[in-house]
Amino acid sequence: MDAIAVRPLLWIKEAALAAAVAFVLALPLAGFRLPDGVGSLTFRPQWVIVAVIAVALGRLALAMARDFGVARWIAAPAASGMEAVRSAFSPYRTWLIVGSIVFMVALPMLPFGTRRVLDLATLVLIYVMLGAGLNVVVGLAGLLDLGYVAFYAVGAYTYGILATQFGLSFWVCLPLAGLFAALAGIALGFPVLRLRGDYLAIVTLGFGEMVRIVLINWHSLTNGSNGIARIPTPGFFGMQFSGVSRLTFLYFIIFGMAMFTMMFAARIRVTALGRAWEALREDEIACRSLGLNPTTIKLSAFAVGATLAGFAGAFFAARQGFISPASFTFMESAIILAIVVLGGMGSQTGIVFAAAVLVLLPELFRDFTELRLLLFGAAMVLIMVSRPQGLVAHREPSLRLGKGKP
Amino acid sequence: MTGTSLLAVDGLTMRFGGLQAVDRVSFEVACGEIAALIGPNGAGKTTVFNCVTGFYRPTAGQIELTRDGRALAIERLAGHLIARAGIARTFQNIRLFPHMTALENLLIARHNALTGTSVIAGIAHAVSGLFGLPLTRRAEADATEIARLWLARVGLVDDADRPAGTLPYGAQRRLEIARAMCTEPVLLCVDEPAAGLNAGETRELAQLLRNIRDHYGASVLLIEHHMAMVMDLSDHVVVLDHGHVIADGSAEAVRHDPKVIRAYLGEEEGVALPQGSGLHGESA
Repeated sequence: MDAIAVRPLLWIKEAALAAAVAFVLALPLAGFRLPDGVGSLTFRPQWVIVAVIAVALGRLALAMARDFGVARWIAAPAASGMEAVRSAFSPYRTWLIVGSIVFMVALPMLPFGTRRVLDLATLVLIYVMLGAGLNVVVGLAGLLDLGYVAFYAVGAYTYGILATQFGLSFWVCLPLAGLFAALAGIALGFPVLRLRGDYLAIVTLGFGEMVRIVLINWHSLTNGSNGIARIPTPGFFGMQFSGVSRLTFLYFIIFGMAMFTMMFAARIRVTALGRAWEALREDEIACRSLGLNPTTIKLSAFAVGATLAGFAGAFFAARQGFISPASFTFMESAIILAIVVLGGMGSQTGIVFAAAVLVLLPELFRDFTELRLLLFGAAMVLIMVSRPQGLVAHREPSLRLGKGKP
Repeated sequence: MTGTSLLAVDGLTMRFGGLQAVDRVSFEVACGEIAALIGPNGAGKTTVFNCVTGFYRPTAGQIELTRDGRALAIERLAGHLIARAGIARTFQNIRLFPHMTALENLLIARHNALTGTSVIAGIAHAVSGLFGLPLTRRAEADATEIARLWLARVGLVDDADRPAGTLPYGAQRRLEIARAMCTEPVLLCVDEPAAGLNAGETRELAQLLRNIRDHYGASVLLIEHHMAMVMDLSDHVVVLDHGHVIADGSAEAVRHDPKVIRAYLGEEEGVALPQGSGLHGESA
């Protein structure tokens, strides 16, 4: 190890600072509790003390790890490990894909394919779809979108309203949900054409909140914060399902939709449009100098990403049977973005893994109740410290010379 | 076609707030020639360049591109339409797409040729590309063929599948020129292409620019500080100083022009600039 500068004074200083910040945050966030049925707050100082100590120790450990160069011991083997795993599996890529598809199709028939497992798998697949859609916008086109949940909401409400008010079937509403979401995507795209990076992120964040607030206040159409209930479950050529068979059927629908999305995303990346998105991410000025119209390329990325979210939203409404604006908060956008970033920007395999991790981790930690979110956050920090470029950071060229399509 | 006017800049003026960067600059670039734009630092060369390639909208003046007997008012076109009109450029600080391969970089330059320029055509191409229809495949194969040709011309075929950002500096310069040429321009604008290149690479670059003029059907507008290369290569040199054109003529005439010598070297008059790299150091 070269040049280790061990600075205990600095550790203590940093830990003290972090503890001070933790105290300021923890006092209102964890220090007070509003018990049910009691009109007053109860103060619970033990939680503040726990938070402050935990943060101070964490910061101390991080500072020590930095000075002793622990990141290098973790990051390098993790990177080469992932690379080794990737290259070890790449000859069997087709078989792995076929194998996992067969497994997913067979899941409801397998002994452990219980209600809970199916439900979780459905949830994972919804997030795979959303991740793949946001990946078009963020991973390929490089447009940081913090309000992606807005398109998910548009899709969900399209099906919810059309099904309950006009009695349209799911299969008619699905393309409509995609269409309306795409229009919303273009509507968002126009005002933000000139924005990049932080500024774009803030405007998209605002757009996401706007849609949610419109859903709350447009009472005549959306029934406000009471939401829309009794949204019918999709049928299949007149067949209706209930109970476990309903769950299985929904699982197959989302499985088909996720498969479609993954294939679509993989294909569109290697078309001229997909390449143009990536070029736009890399250098917009160079794009313009080559005669590419940044306006249409950006709008197409927003529209395509939004369409996929719209599909996912329609399915979500069909599965839940009830939607309200509370389902479409910023937290959802953040989780979808986390899936894209954690998976490794632009990587589809990464999205599948990341969606599984982010949906299943909170489930695994369910027994820890109050500590659940803390553990979830710690797990994410750990993953990002060891793999800052995301789980799968490999970029496969859209085509190679001589070999044509990859 | 050689000799007829391709680009005519007339009374070009560019003001940034109170700063007059370029003042009533007029010059022409003829078909089939290499024209150089030189001048001390801050003379306004890159500003003129950015106006011609649509990155700035000039405060006043006209820029006219004559193509197939039709005159186009460049100063009124949006940035990306100028490239479609036939003016391609490279950048002083290379602007490749660093994470995309060399081949992909060139294919981006074929984007409009591939997908057409209307939205409908673009959607049709994307949909047909999704299904891998024969029409799109053939178009992609053609585009790849043109890209391969240009990779061969700049000696980068073996690096086709490498991310552009990992190529050596000189190769990145050549790749950027190849990328600009893949848009099939009538005028190639290169901004200080020899900056940071060694003597051998500079010679190769000069030969490439000559080939572009003689064989690949584009005129060249060049900004360069490497005087030996400028004098050797240019059919026609325009000298800018403090935003004004102070000389315009053959390399030989400009070299002996007292105003040019004064602009570069200060007051000492009557000294002809030496052949070769005379101005190189002073101008940098």
